[in-house]
Amino acid sequence: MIDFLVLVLILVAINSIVAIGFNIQWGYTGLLNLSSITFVGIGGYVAMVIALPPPGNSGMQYILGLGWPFPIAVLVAMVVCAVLGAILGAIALNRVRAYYLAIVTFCVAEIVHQVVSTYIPLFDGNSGLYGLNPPFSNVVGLANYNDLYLGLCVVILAIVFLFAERLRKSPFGRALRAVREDHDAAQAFGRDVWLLQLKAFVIGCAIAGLGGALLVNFTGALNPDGWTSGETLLLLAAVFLGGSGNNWGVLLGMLLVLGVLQEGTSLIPTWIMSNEQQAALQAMTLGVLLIVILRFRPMGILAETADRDRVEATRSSASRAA
Amino acid sequence: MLLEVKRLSKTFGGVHAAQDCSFSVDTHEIVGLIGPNGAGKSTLINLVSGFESASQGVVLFDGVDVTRKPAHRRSSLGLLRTFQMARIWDRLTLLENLLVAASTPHRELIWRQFLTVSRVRRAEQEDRVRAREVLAEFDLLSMKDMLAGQLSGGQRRLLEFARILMARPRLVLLDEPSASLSPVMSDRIGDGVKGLSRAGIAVLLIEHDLRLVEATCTRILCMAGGKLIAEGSMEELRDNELVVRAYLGATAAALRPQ
Repeated sequence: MIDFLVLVLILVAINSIVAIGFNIQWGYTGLLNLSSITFVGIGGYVAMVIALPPPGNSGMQYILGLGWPFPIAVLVAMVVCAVLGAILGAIALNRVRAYYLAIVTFCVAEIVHQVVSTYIPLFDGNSGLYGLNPPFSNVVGLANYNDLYLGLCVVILAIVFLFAERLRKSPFGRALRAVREDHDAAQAFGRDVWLLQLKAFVIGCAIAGLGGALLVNFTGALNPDGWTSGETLLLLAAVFLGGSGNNWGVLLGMLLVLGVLQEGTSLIPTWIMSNEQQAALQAMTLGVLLIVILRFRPMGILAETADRDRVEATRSSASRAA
Repeated sequence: MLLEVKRLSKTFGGVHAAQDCSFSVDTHEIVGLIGPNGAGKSTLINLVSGFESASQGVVLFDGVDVTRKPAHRRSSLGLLRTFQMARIWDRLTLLENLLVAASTPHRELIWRQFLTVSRVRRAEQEDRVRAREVLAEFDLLSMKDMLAGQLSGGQRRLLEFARILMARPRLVLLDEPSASLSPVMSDRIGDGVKGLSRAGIAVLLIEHDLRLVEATCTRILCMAGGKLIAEGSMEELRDNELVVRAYLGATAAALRPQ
């Protein structure tokens, strides 16, 4: 049971990292990036081909195979995702209409998924890549390995969380929220709306890549099924339920949606419900959940917190200065 | 001259929304821009502020040719605008609305948020103090931590004025600030316009409320059919045959002194 809990928490932690990246795009800036999961996949793929040894006789086909250590693989994955995010963002953000980005990123996600699952030389098609040794396992050993990896993921999650919070409270984050609320007005006050949106988009993509790299290093495999838009639904449900724009809310949402709802369903004995039925139930509850949240509590459980001024609103403070 | 507009034109598929418009606004001036609906006033504002690109003509701001510059660059030079509906950031607090207006893209560079924290904080602190003063001026101080979306129509306008004061531009283009507000509120708007002027900000005021225009503006431009047809004081415009004709019908009465 504890082992299962550790496993679930690792997945929650990694997905929370991705969700915080998504929150910077959607919650802070109002950019609906439906290809978030694609960047998780790209990050995972890049980390994999850098960390894996050359293909050799493994029967798999992939490029590079550098066999480089885990930290480098993670960093390169983030950089590649940032660069690809910048290219996609530069194209898709050229229109100021929010839904334009949603449509483009949705299409990109579908295209990439098709390419990944059919193009053998680069991605080994539908069978995916596997056989990656868990990082540092030769040092720390495989006993209790998951506990250690959970610790690593939580530390990285904490760093990402603090980074996102710092951004949110900073003048930069405030400008992003102004862009989200009314980009014309933001432009009228000297903000390069496109550039601000691009920055937020790139940061989110890099963080998604980080999540992907952590994920493949844990599972040791990368399967094209992980790139589908169903995974995006999980992300949307978690962020919308927890609270768009609120990073604590995002953590709570991911814990509830992935930790309780998704993984909880898998505890249902198979004589009640087969694995396929469980998967179907998970997808359906996510859909229903999303609709219910958006209808009854669009701000999520924990609404975005306003930045409260520390000084009391008395006239004296103003008149003294005047 | 602070703002010089020379032979500015805009055509939408053969329709002249603005044609050969030339005018100027000097520092410390409050210039009115009036005209019937569809005269092209908003198009002219969009052209000057950069929200639409001109088909022809030149916009000089403080001697710099900004005709091809995007809107946000013009704004950074000190050429601000408002919109017909008050456009404030609803899910930011009143204070935050003012802080965004006072901050600069330079301060918002990502690396600064991590590497020059204390400098950013100090600048923020100065802005906060000033923001509270400005909010107090508009009787909005007690609401400073409320989300701007909770404000009433009139208060939204006042917050917009407060935001302009925070940004300290050199010229502001006000697009019908009294639109959809009660007559009582429109006096308040008049005070707001004069307040901007006192703060050293030149104003180009587009307005249907001619009483408000007369009370605030030293010089008035009249536009009709995409062209500037007259310029002068309200007195002079009242005697101008072209202006009276452009305002034919019910609105003609509005031109007469009350």
